[in-house]
Amino acid sequence: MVNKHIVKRPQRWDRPFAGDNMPEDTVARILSSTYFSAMSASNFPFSTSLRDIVRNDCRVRTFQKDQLIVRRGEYLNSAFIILSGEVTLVSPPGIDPKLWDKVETPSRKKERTLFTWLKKSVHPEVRQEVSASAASLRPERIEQVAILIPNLDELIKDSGVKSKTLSVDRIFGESSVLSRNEMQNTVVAKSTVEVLEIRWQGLRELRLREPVFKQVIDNIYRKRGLYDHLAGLPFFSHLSHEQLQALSQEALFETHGEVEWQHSFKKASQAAKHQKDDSLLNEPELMIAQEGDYPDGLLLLRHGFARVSRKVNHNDYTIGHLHMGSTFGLEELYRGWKQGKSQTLNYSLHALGYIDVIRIPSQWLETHIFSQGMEHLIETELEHSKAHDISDAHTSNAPPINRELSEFLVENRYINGSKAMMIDLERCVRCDDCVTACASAHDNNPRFNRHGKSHGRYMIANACMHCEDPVCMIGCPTGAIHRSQTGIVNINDATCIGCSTCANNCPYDNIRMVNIRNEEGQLYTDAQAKPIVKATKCDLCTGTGGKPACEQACSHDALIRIDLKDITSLEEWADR
Amino acid sequence: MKFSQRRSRNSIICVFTAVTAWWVFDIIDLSLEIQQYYSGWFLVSLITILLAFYLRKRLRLQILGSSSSWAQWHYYTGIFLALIFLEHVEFSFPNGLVETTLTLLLLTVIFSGMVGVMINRHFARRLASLDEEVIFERIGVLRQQLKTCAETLILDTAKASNSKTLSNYYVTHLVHYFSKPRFIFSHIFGSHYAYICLRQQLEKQLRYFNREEAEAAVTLFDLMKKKNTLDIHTALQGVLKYWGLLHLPFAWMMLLMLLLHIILVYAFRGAV
Repeated sequence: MVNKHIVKRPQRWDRPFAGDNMPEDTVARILSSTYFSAMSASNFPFSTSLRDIVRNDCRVRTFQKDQLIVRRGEYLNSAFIILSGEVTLVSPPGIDPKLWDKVETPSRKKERTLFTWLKKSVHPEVRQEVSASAASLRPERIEQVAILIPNLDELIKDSGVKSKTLSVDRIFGESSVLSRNEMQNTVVAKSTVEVLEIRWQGLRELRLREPVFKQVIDNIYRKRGLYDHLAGLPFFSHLSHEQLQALSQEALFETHGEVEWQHSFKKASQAAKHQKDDSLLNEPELMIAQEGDYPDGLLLLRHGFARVSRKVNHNDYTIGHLHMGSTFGLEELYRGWKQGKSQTLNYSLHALGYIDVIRIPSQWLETHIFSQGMEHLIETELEHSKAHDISDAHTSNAPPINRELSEFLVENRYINGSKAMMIDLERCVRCDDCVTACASAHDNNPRFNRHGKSHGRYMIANACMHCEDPVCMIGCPTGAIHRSQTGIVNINDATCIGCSTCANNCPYDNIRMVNIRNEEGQLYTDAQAKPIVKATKCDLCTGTGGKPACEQACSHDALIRIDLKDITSLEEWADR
Repeated sequence: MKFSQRRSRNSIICVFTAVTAWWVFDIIDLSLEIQQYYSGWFLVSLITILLAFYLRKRLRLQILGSSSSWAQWHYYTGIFLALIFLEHVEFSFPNGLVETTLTLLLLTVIFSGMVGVMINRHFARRLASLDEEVIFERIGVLRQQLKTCAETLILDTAKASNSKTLSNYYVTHLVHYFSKPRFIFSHIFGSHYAYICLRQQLEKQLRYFNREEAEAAVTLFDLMKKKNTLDIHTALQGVLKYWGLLHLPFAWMMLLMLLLHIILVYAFRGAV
């Protein structure tokens, strides 16, 4: 008798990135390409050989002329190296995104949802199979409909945006992958083009083992990141291509904090919980600029989050936060220039985790912005930077979002969440309809806990927040946890090998490992009788075509999925 | 839209529609038709809408739309139904066994529904003001943990202090408190009197304890406070969870009585 529940434990590379096994001649061709031929196979261990990385973490893709390869605003899980042909890289702010349809989210038909509901299993966490097979994998980008932009040159000319041509051996997409951020450029095939797509896991191994390759990638990341960020800011929109290039030569690209900040934050979070002292949460933060110092330049946040604080007696209190695109120090620099006397910084700036900062020298600003009569631009930017400042934004009426709540959200780094589950405890009747609805939509097992840290009447429940900086993705050996083009962090169950890396990495404990079962309700185990586990978390009910089940099920308007750094929406919701 | 605005809008629509419906039924009455047939079937259709909310909550299908909108429909349709019912019975209390029972059941359902809405609003606020948020199903486990903690403390203190004063007091007055949910009704009505009395009793004993026992008593106060919070959660969350047990069975009984009422009305139609 065959024991259907005893299975082989899933492994990394059970399913190569290319789908089927890559032909040997393709592997040889990639290994002989410029970057790979310079790599030394001896730098790689036997278990993760260079050949295996190429075979399993890379795929070759062909795009026809005028075909859109990646678009600005998308989240990527891979970087690309051009093998043949040319592409056009359109710099920010880019061409009108209305040219192509909005990013499609896969949606099942409603009848299918009903049908699925009717035939669902009575057991929790039932899987028909444990690991990936061709049939079980969801369609990837490769199967998507090609979008053609035949009049790209005209569009670029009309909109006056900058673009450049990239040819063989040039790399793109690295910035989005390395910074876990949205793509800044749009890339379109200029001719029939063949690209090597390296998924994040492979790229990570290559950067780790090959210092020269790492340097190449990091240089492109810094150089292009600098230019693209500056070009995308409205503050510099009046500058020509040449001026922007000159500015990117003068500006400094700095990185602060740890890339894998989640470990120190988790430690601090636990210490704060045990010692009941929330100020311990700020301990892992790194100070970038200190209140009372003279600013030497304007700071632009390119990636990550920073906390703005002010010293009060023996501690500092949180004024607000800055995120990608925000500036710091402009007011002091501008007022100082206007009055002819340098001014010190009014606030301090701390890195919340890992951040990229661009420092524009004050002399450059004085010459190219302040003395050029750009008052309106400066005032707009000053207003924009105040938008995240809770205390200044609400001085008159009693604010529904008070400073303490803002401090709570910033210090606990909840501002990282783009779809956090916030519960108004004064309206929640603890009926658990949200939990049962979630279980009903997900294999009879809820994907969140109606529990979490709370401040006053608001609780941030333990549900995946679909973070701006999803550190849970770091270290996933198969790429099962990935970010969709729309920014939703999903786990591909078929390729998850149950290693728990993502669950351990999540700073908010929002990923759970579950035992899986077959249709008869038996636990899947390996030959040693150890259960097979899979990582599960909230997927925002992707595929059902509507709002998340939890939000839909709440009869009392007590629950919302909300972007916690969007103070305006938060206020609107709180002030109901 | 703010809740106050939504409430005003829905109330106005509800009253306006009810007045219009009254006017229509009066016209039907003036045209020598029996308006009760029309208003009666209209009431049945309203009851179907109310019942749909119950089904929506159980079906948990996202395609059915937001539960919050369904709840709003449920609340205001309930009020609307009450107003139409007044017209149906021509603003008088019906006589006859079936009609009287049906009216009483309907009034109970409406009343329990309104009380339920008030409980939802009021108790949720009271729960939010507590120190700790607790999941209802975990209360038993947490209570057991507190009890174990208290008993360990008492045993350790008895050994360390070589005195039985505190342990005797615990066995006589506090074992029961830590073993089960206590003062549930007091907590439902928002009174802390019973808990304060129990606490004061222990405070009064402090003078009879030796130093180790007095120190342990301070920890015991903390445990009692935590247990009190758990009891408040038990009381308030219990009511929030189970008030439906009053609303729903009466609603089902009313439906059965309604069916009987319709059968009787049509069976004896010729007599009218």
